[in-house]
Formats: sequence, structure tokens, C-alpha cells
Amino acid sequence: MNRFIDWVDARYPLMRNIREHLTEYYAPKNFNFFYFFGSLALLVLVVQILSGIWLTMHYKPDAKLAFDSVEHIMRDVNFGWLIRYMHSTGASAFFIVIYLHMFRGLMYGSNKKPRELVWLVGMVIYLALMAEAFMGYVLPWGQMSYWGAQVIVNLFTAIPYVGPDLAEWIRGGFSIADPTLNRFFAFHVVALPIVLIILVAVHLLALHEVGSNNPDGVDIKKNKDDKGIPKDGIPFHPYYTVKDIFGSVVFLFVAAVIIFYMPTVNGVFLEHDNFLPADPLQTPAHIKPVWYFGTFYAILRAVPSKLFGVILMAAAIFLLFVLPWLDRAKVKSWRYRPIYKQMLILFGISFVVLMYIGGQPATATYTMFARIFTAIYFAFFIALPFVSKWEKPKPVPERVTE
Amino acid sequence: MHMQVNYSKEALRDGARTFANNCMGCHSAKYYRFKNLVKDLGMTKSGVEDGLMFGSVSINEHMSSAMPAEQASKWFGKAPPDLSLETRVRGTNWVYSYLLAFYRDGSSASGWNNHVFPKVSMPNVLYHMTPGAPEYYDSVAVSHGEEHGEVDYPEVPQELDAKVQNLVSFMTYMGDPSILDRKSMGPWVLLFLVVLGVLTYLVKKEYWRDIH
Repeated sequence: MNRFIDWVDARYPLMRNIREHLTEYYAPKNFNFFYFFGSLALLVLVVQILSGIWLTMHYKPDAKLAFDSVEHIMRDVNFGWLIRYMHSTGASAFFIVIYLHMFRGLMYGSNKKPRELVWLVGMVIYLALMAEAFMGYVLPWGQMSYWGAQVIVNLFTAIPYVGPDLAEWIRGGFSIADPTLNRFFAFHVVALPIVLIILVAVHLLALHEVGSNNPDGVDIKKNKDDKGIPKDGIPFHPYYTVKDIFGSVVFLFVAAVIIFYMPTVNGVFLEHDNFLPADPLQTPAHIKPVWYFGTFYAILRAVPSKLFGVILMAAAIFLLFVLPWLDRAKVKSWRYRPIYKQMLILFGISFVVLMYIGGQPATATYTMFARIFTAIYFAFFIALPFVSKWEKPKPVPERVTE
Repeated sequence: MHMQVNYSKEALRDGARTFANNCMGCHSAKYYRFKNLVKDLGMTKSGVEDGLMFGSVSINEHMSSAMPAEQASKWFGKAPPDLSLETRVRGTNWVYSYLLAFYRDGSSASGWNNHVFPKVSMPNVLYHMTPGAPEYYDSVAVSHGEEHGEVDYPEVPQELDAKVQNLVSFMTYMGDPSILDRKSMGPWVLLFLVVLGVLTYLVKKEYWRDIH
């Protein structure tokens, strides 16, 4: 075995990679609950790719056959229902995990110098994931697939001059139809998964270049022992591999409860109207995106003008990209920044409330609340540069505290 | 009106018979195969072939109605919808309430109207379902004016209620037949994950003993 590894090592940096990224990658020893979600996101990506491959073996990307082929998977394919529910539950789980992962980054200042690129690449992953999820949702070709796609692609028509042509180019026609389904299938199954895998690799390489942050936001590399190993660092393998394996099992337990006992989560993970085949002649009474797009959909609807709604929605996402530069504080973790902590909690609440409103009909009351919470959402970004500059932080410890 | 879905084989078999005998005249369940009545519900092959398959040749076929869609849409104004996924779209309680919400209405073509689905073209096929059914349906009050919300329903006779609940239970199962597999596999999957969780936790704890 050793001779084999030597043979490989003479030709490929196998052991070096294992050392750099696992056995001699020193992570802070005080990771808490929120640090499970990075490895869980990786787990969900693998589950989605594997279950997706098996779904692709039986799914037909054709407007006439797509809906029936999904029911064929659910009923006639051996364990097809399990694979399909894994994939549909995995899609929602992906966003739950990613949102918690992103929020953790904001809690402990993991997006701040020197980890700006980790955050930026992560944000591009998030964008790619939204595109991946949106196109995947179109594939079952139910009523919500069809009309959701119609609404989202129509957003592009708000762009002055080129908008209508652009939307037509995206659809491959004047309305959502078979060509749209085919190209979304190609993007969902081939193009975007490749992009996602590459971006995840870059995300991890960028992280390992600068090292992981921690709940105290202190730099563990400042305190090294005589061997040059951070005193508060522990090798990722075996310590965090065994910890993350346990976390994965807990996650799989929750996922299994959903898959086996409540796969549609009462119309949240799989919407009721999507069990009706797509019908271009019959608009559903209430078109709404899946829950994970709710926040941005609520912001879009909060504005009466379509163009400004689209601009505001794009701004809501773009502002997340520039967060590392909007936050001018030297101290990273919210543990030592009481005002920032309250701002971030308020921002989190507005994000979740908007997510809920995005799934409700646009009544006057909901629209009013959508506007209030949209204002809070943006107030966070507007206030951050000033508050982070002037807030006097609590004393930060030299070493990690737990 | 609310009901609890009953996934016992007896209830589902009763519902399947009611469905085949009363619904399939007009409605199809184009995603459900007759053979699953044997495989999932334990009916006999000959029982299905002789008692429930009216227009179909093979037990491997889907449950489709013999009524041609084109003529059906002429007769009813709209072809009766496929019912395979009806409970998934509208929900179990909706279908249950709908079936018990028929009332006499002389102005409609069928002589029936429905509080849950006003002006529906479907006639009340459950009228003679049980001995108590005619009296029940005859006493469902006509609603007042255009508002269909406020209706006081008479008490549903137990026999009729059971028939309808079994039927809707069957339709719920038919909407997602994996429910039976999920219910039988689920506990084992969860048990496995609990055991694995305990083991992986002990491994984690052992490794982390020397970290302070």
C-alpha cells in the first residue's frame, strides 16, 4: 500500500493535498452549531447530483411527456418516489442550509478581510443555485412550473429597449413552451451543476488559503506553538470529519422524516397546484414562487412600478455581494458588536417575514407589511457603513473563548 | 368538514370499489394501474378483473373511463377531470366536503348543485349510495343568495360518512401510492439513522476527549 502511494505521490500531489486540506488544515477548535451547514451544503449537493442522475434516466424533457414522466417515476419506477422526494426535499433543504450558512458568515464576520473572496465566490454559488432551482422547478411541467416560469422570465421585459427581445430569446419563443423546457433541462442537468461544482471547489480553495474564521472572530494564526501550529487550531481530519459525520446523520434524520412522512410539507416543498399539468390557457388564481424565493418576490411586489420593482429586487441581491466593504468595523464577530448584532437580527427577521409574505396573495395588508419590511431590509445596508464605523466594540479576547 | 385518511387495506378496498363503480363511469385515473389494487391492497386478480374492470382488457392498464372525452365535454360542457391527483391538488378535506355538499337545485341540468363547487355539472352520484343517503342529500339546505359560505349541514348518516371517507381515503392513496411503502419503510429508516447517530456521536466524543 505504501509503495503504491509513493508511486502515486511521485506523479500526483496526493498526500500533499490530503495534508493541506484535511490532516494538516488547522481549523479553530470552537466551531459551534452554525458551522455544520457548510459541510451539510456539500452533502446536499452530492445527494442532489446523485438523485438527479437517476431522475434523468426516467424523465422526459418534452412538454407533452414531462408531467406524465414524473408520475411514471412516482408510480412505476422502482423506488422512483424515493428518489424524486429526495430530490424535491433536497432542493428546499439546500436553501435552508445555505441561508443558515450565509447568516453564520454575517454573525461572525466571516465575510470580512481576509475572506472577501470566500464570500464573493459563495454569493456567486448562491446565484447559480437560484438559477438551478428555478429551472429545476420548471421541469415537472405543472401549473406552478409553467406560470412561475412565465412570471420570472417576464421580469426581463422590464429592462428598457432590449427587454422584450431578451425575454423571447430566453424562452425560445413568445411564451413558455417546449423549447423553454428543453433548454432549462439542459441548463439544470448539465451546465449549472458543472458551474456549481467548480465554484464550490474555488470556494473551498479560497477558504483554505486564508483559513477558517470562528465564532469569536479572532485570528488563531496569531498564536502559534513552536511547531508553527495555531494553539487554538485542530486538524480538520479527524476532528471535524467525525463531528460533521455526526451532524450529517442528524440532518439525514430530519430529511428522512420529511421524505417519508410529509414530502410536500403541506404544499410548501411541493406546491398543490403543481400537481395539475401545465395549461397555457388557464392562469392559476394565485401564482407564487417556491418558499425560498419569497423574500425577493415580496420585495419585487412591494413596488408598484415593474421596472423599479425589478431594480429593487436586483439591488437586494447585489447589496449582499458588497457586504464585506459596507461593513467597516475592525472587529469581526457579533459577540463583541452589540449594535451590529441587533441590526443583523432585525435584518434576519425582515428576510424571513418577507419570505412569508412572498408566498401570500398581494392584499393591501400584506403589501403594506411587505413595504415596511423591505424598508428594514435596505435600512440594514444603508446604516451598516456608519454604524460599523462608529460602534465602539467590546474588548475582544486574544484567544478563542470556548 | 374534516376527515382523517384511513390507510387500512379494508378501507382502501372499499374506497376502490366505490371509485370503480361510481366514479369511473365518467372519470379516469390515468396514472393508476389496476394491478396495484392487487399488489398494494391485496385484492384478488380475478376479483379486480371481473368486478372492477369495465372497459379495460389487461390488469396492467390504467384506470381509464370508457367515456370518450370528446363526447363527455359535449354532454357536461367540460370533460370530467382525471382524478388521479385530485386530492393532491385540492386536498383531502376539500374532496370530502365536496361529496357531501350536494343539494337539490331545479334550475340546473342535473337537478343538483353543490355548495363547495357552485354550478358544478357533476350530478349527485352518491344519492343512492346508502339507505340513509337520499334523506341526507334532500335535507342539505339551499344556500341563501350568492354566498355559499354559510350552510348548516344536517348530520351525515354514519354509513354514508364511512363510504365517502373510504372513497376519499382511496383517492388520497391513489394520488401518491408511495404512502404505503413510506409508512412501512419509514420507521426502519429512522431507527437506522438513530442508531447511526448514536454511534457517530460516540465516535465524535471519543476523538474530542483531548480537546479543551
